[in-house]
This record gives sequence, structure tokens and C-alpha cells, in this order.
Amino acid sequence: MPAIPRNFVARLALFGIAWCIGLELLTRLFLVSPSNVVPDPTLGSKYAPNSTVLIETPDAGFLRVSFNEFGFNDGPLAPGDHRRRILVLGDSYVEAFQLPRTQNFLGIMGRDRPDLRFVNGARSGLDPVTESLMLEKLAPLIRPARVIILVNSGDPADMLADGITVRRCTGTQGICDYTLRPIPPLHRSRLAGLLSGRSALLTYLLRRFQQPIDTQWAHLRGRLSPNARPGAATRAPGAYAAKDFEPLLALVFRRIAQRYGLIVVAVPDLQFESAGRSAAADGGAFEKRVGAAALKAGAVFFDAGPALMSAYARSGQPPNGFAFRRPGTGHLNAEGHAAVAHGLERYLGAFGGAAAG
Amino acid sequence: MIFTSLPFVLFFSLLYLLLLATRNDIARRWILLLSSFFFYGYWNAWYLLLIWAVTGWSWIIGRYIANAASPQRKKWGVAAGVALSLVALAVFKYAGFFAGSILSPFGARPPSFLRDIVLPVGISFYTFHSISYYVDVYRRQVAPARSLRDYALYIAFFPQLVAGPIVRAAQFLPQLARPILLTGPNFAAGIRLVLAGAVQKLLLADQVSPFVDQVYAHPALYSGATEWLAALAYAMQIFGDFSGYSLMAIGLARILGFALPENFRMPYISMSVVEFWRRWHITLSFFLRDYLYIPLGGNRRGLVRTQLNVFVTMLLGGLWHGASWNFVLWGGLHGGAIVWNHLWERWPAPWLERQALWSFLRRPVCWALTFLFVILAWVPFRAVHFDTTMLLLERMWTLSDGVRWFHTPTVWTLAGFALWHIAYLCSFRSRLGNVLEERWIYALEAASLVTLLVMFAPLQSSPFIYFQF
Repeated sequence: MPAIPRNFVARLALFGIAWCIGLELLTRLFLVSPSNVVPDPTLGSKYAPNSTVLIETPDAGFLRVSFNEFGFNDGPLAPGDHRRRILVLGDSYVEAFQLPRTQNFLGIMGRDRPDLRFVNGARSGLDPVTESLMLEKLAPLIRPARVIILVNSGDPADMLADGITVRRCTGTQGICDYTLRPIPPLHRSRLAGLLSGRSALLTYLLRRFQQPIDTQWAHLRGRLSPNARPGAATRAPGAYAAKDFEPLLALVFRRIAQRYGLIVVAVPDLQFESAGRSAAADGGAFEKRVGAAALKAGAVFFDAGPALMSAYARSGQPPNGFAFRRPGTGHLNAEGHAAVAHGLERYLGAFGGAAAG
Repeated sequence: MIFTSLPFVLFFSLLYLLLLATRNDIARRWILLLSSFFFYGYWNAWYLLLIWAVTGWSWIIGRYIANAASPQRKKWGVAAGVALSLVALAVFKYAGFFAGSILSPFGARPPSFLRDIVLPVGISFYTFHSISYYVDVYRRQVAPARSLRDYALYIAFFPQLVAGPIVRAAQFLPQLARPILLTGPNFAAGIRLVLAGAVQKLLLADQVSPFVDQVYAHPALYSGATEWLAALAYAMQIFGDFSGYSLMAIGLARILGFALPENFRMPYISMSVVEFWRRWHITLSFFLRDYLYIPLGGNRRGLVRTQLNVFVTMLLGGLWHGASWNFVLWGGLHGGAIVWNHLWERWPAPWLERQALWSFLRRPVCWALTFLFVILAWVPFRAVHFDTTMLLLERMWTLSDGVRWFHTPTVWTLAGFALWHIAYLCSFRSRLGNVLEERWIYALEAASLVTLLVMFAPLQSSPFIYFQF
């Protein structure tokens, strides 16, 4: 082995510090900004209001996004704007970081219906339950005249992961209420949260390695204590289970519909084949369940599947997917947003005019 | 346990520390041998029985060849040894394939025991090592290994065990005649090679492999232009994968004090298919030349026989890559191209050399044609099935309509790959000269490579392509 000079450690430390500073600068310039995630009492965390950050999305690469005063990917709500507001809830499908705002379905509908103000109230990782809880806090600030909620095929899994507790109605199989497991703000690691808010490099590395480390750790923990059952928590009394998807969705929809009027949009997973042929990935089961829940709740239901399939048949290009990932998977692209917008506009009908308040 | 996995990093670190702590040379050899067996058995412990058997019989036959009284007996020894090694290869690698090929015209399938044979990792490489041993001993290029331990280390030495480079007995066994030395310069040079190899594997090959896999899995779905991009990407993927593996193998061996031969030398800058094979999988090319082409007669029996020998050698070289007619087709295409190359050099080339315009066009035209040929020849290699190959080539030729996908990481990686080749052609490294040997440059290079790997390497590395061969 080479002889180690006396000041080797000092040199190495200096080199390491200089290297990290250089990397931090490069990361801020080309990859991501320091995390703009801040604590939120309802959902644990949210994006900092009025922030602009460089983020990485798995399907579209590195993008610069500005958030409004509510921490959403939308422009500010002008106080003098008296148009009726339609609040659109959803997850990353609606948040649509991958597209300029003029190309997502809110932007397209806003152009086609200038009498309405479509407000993007979506955030990555949310699902109908967390969206409804967020709506309770948001509604007094935004005062929506109507709500659109977009449900996609990733939501059932998100709802399972959320730690929802349901209260079943006595004597029936129905669900009467639901609550979220209390989430302490940024509970995973306060230190990591604090540091990643200041360092772009740490933000990038945490986003890259946290999930695999957690997975490996859970795997190792399972090996070390084979008697512990990882699924035990979800089988606790009142825990939400997959079979509760439709009744819980119906309850969520009913609560929103009773107060604001609701349009439910289902975006199913599609499989694309050659020559413009496509089909629903699970034979249409997902959108049937969402549609049934919407019907029970008295909400308007729009299945985006046929519109997306006909967009594919027309153009030969899948309406979802971006250049970093396989076309036909993941988020809606410009084509998909246009298809959803044009389909959805028919359901808005004559609704519009000046705001009631 | 692949080189880019965490278990391997732990395994190698522990091994190196153990070797450092051991001063006795004999003990170091045993440690290396046992760790090589552990490395191999990590895939499947049953494979060890096969490698032990190949090692045992080839060591005995090698001694027989060396000690046989007459040249005739020596020849018989070589023939028996080669036959035994090839039988092992045929049983484990080709039995199901040949049985299927023979039976399929009659609508029958090979029996299940043939279909269920699992290809032991690295068998194609260590059977070649044993063949090299017989022939090198017969040609007196190397003395027969006195110690079974040293010979077993030659066969099972883990850096080159599963996917080469193909190391000849005459290259490796003499290195065992001196003590195993772990030195600082070897460590530094080895680490540099390992990092360079990891970058080729993880940042070139693995970045594009999801795209290539997807397009080749759905050949009718994507547009012709996307399929061209996939063909180009596969050319880069297989280079990054195999060259990266080879560099890592050479680097790991260097850290342990052994020199393995170079396996790749920027093959995609070749001006002809002949030159391509002097730059691509060099150890296989030279192995086939010395142990197959020359024994077939080489170029000593006239023009027609020479070209036939070339073609047969490449055909068998293709078959060596895998039990599929597509590999035979790939080998045949390259064999045909080399024959064409030889004939070209004989007739039109001398006339063309006298034309003024050709002196300007020769390099770009020859490079473009060679590159295009190599790219297109990779299509059957990757597609595996003949129908898929023809569909892909047809769609590429007609630039068919379909789903357009210009996978951004692939495009960026290809651009980086092209820049690297341009820098190589401009002799970038040699212009820098001794500067590259400065310690601070070494530190900067190592830190840059490690940073690139930490920041951008896929977290789930795909297996090396050549492991399946």
C-alpha cells in the first residue's frame, strides 16, 4: 500500500469539502433545488407557498416549477377575479409538473371557458381521502363553486398506504366515517428534513436513496425478527382494506358532492398495442368501481378511458408517458390532457357565469 | 454476485484485507482459490462440481500431454482433452438447442430433461481456458502446472471466471511462478480500471437497457426511427456492458497482482470488420484465430479455403455466444463481411487507392459502412428470434409508423458516448501526456467517477449480458 503522508487526512478533508461545495453548486444549477417541503398539520407536509424550485420527475427529467400561495402548481388567485372557481383535486396526474400550465387540462379548459377559473388543488401522492381532508382546510380560502376530483389507478394503492381508519356503520357493511393516522410533521427524520431544506445535494441524495434504504431496512428487520408481522398494523380493527375502496370512495364523493357539486374523473391504466389498438389494463374494473361510487354519491362521472383510447387511435401516440419513461405508462402527456379537457368540458355544460361569492 | 453489487464489494474488500494480512504466499494462493470457489458457488453450489471436474480432468490430461512419449500420443491427448471439454459444453449449453432443432420439423419437442438443463455460469469461458491449456502445453508454450492448486486457480480465478477475458494458460500460469504481490501502484491502477468499468456498465449500458429491452420486446409497436435508436443504443449497451465487465475484471485482477489481457480497444472506430474484430472481444478473436482458424488450415491452403476457414470460424464463434440460430446468423454475417473485406482488399481497393477522390472519402465511407453493418448485425444478436429480427429490420428499412419514443437518457448517453470517441480520436489522453499520472489528477478522476456513479447509476443494476453465454 502507498505510504500515507502525515497531512494526508487534512488534505483529504479539504478536498472533500471543496468537492461537496462544487457538487452543491452543480446540483442547484442543473439537478434539483433544496427541498421546499414544509410541515402541514393535516397531511404531514406540503410544498412551501410561493416557492420556485428545480425538481426531478421520473418521467420527464429536471424541471423548474413555481408554486402559488397555497403551494400548488398554479398561478396566484387574483383577489379581483370574480369568475366562478372550480377546484380540481387529484395527485401528480393533475399537478402535472411535466407540462407547461397552458397544456394541462385545467389550462386548456380555462382557455375554452374563460368565464370559469380552474384552480389546481392537486399534490403528488394524495388520494381521494387525503384530498377530501385537504379540501376542508382549503375550501374557505378558495371558495370553490364546484369540485372536480380525478382518480387514477394508482389511488387504491395510495389509500392502502395512507393508514386510513374507517368507522363502519352499525348493522351494515357501509362506512360512516374515516380518519387518517396522525402524521407528525416531517416525522420521518426532522434532521434530514431540516438539512435537505438547505442543501440541494442532500435533497437529491435523500430522494434517490431513502426509499431503497427503507426497503432494505424493512427487509433486514423482517429477517431479524421473523415473528413480527409487517401486515399486522393494517389488520387492526377499523383499518381500511382493499375491499373498502368503493364504499369509502362513495362516502368521500358524497361529502364533497353535498357541499359543492362534484364531477369525478377516472383515468384508468391502458395497454397500447400496434395499429392504434388499446384496451383498459384490468378489463375496465377500476373505472367501473369509481363510476359506481360516483353514482352512489350522486356525483357526475366521467370515464376518461374512451377519450384516451380514441386519442391513441387517432394519433398513434399514447396519451400518457414522457421521454424519460415508456410511452403509454405514467402521467398524462399533452395529448392526454387535451383528451381529458375536451371530454370534461361536455360535463361542465352551461355551468359558469359570475361567482356567487 | 455481480461486480457492481454490494455483496461483491463486501466480498472483495474482505478478501483484499485478508490477503494483506497474510504474508505467506502459499496461504495467499489458497485464500484466492477458495474465495474463487466461493464466488462461483454463490450462484449455485452445484456448479462447483462441474468446475472441479473440468479442472481435475484437464490437469491430468495436461500432464499426460506433457509426459507422453510420442508426438502421436500427445496429439491424442490434446484431442481427448478438447473433446471432453467440448462435450461438457455441448451437454450443458447446446443439447436442448440441437435436440429442439432436430425435432421441431417433426412437430416434436425435446425431452424435458434436455430442456431443463441449466446453463452453468461461465462454462463457455472456463472450457476455453482448459482447451487453451491442452494446446499451449502441447505447443510447449507453457510448462504443465505442477500444482493442482495453481492450475485450479487458473481455471477458477474469479475476476475472469464468468465472462472473461479469455486468458490463455501461457499468459496466466507463468504469473503463478512468482509470489503474489499486493502493491500500491497495482492497487491504484486497478481501482482506476474498476471505476472506469463500473462507469461503462452502470452509466452507459444500464442507462439504456430499459429502453432497448422495451423496444425489442414490442417490435411491432414502435416506429422505425425509434427502432433505429434502439439498435444504436444496443450497440452502446453491449459495448458498455461487456467492456465495462472486462475492465473491472482486469482491474480486480490487477489489484490482486495479476495481469489479464486487454479485451476491447474502441471497436466502434473501426474502418473495417476485420479491424472491428481486432478491437472487439480481442481475447475471443485471438483465441478463435489461434485455436480454430489456424488448426483448420488458416491461410495456407489457397484463397477459397482461407475464406471458408474464416467463415466457419466466425460461424462457430457466433454459435459459441449462445444456443440459438440467431447467434449463428450473427456469426455468419460477420464471417461473410470479413470474407467480403478480404476480397475487397484484393481487387477493388488497389484500384480505388489510385483515385484522388477516394483518399478523401476512404476513411468516412469505410467507417460509416462498418459501423452501419455492425449496428445492423447486432439486431439478430439482440432479437434472439428470427421472426423478430426480420420484423425489426423491415420496420427499420421502411421507417414504419408507430409509437415514437426518443428516450432522453438514451439520447444523452449516446451523445456522451460519441463525445468520448471523438476525444479518443483526437488523442486527448496522449496529448495530456504525463499530466494524467499526477496524483491530484488521479484523485480528481477517481472522485469524478465515484460522484457520477453515486449521483446517476441506476440503483438496480441489470445482470451482465455475457453471463448468459
